[in-house]
Amino acid sequence: MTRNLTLKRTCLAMASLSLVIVIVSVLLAVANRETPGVAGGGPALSVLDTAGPSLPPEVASRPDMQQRLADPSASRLAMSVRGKDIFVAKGHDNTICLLVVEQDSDRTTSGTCQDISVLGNRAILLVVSDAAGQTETIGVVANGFTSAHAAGQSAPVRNNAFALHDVQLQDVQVSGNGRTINADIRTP
Amino acid sequence: MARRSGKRAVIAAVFAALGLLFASASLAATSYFGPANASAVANYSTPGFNNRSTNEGYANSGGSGSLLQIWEKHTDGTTIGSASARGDVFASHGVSYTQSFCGAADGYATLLQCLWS
Repeated sequence: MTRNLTLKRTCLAMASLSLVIVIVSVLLAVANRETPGVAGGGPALSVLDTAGPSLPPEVASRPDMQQRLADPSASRLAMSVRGKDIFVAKGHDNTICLLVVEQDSDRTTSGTCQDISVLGNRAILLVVSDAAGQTETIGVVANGFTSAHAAGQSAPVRNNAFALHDVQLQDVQVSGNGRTINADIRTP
Repeated sequence: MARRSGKRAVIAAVFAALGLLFASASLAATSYFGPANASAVANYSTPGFNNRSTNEGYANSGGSGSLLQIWEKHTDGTTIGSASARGDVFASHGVSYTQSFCGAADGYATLLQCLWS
């Protein structure tokens, strides 16, 4: 009799535990999708639907662009700032790529490709510095964010992109739709 | 009675296993939060990659969110520029520079360097 009671209690405990695990998992999954999605999954990026210019041919034809981007001709210019053209493009394996092309004769280009899920609650960030050590912290955010801030500086989000001059990546915050979040994935 | 309880235990165990499986899959979806310090930069391009007139390099920490930096220098050592990002960063330039350095750093400590010629 006592053995049966113990067995019943064990069953009840295990069933409760599994229920809690399932509920927590569902909540985590919902939290990961707090930004409205687009066809194909992931947060929405309206810049990719614009008719804006794509990467210049001399950059788009480079092997790294061919390898990284799903379709270089589908990249879109989000904004230009202080001698830099900022492009957004879809990469392979459900990634979004941020590309910064210098407006010099050599078209020096740097970039990063991150999983699109990052944009659910953070930004994709790239810090570029010139020969003199001047830096630009450039970011891509999902639809709904309107401004970026760091160290008392503020910049508008245009076409899902922003640029802040000489700030620390870890300090960047983005705001929109009544909320402000830290942009860097490593900032709590 | 004991037999029925045993069946219940098996069913509960199956549910618990499914729950754990679901939880693991859910956590894997946020895997861009990698280890605090990736042990090494995984890759960088080889000299003369595909086309010697196009110089490029990249660093990738294999899914972790480590801060990586890549920079380019003239052969005399003067810096052209650099770029930093979490987990993945790449850079390339056109035909003006026939030689350049690239490097990749994790947390700004040099791990790799390469020379194109």
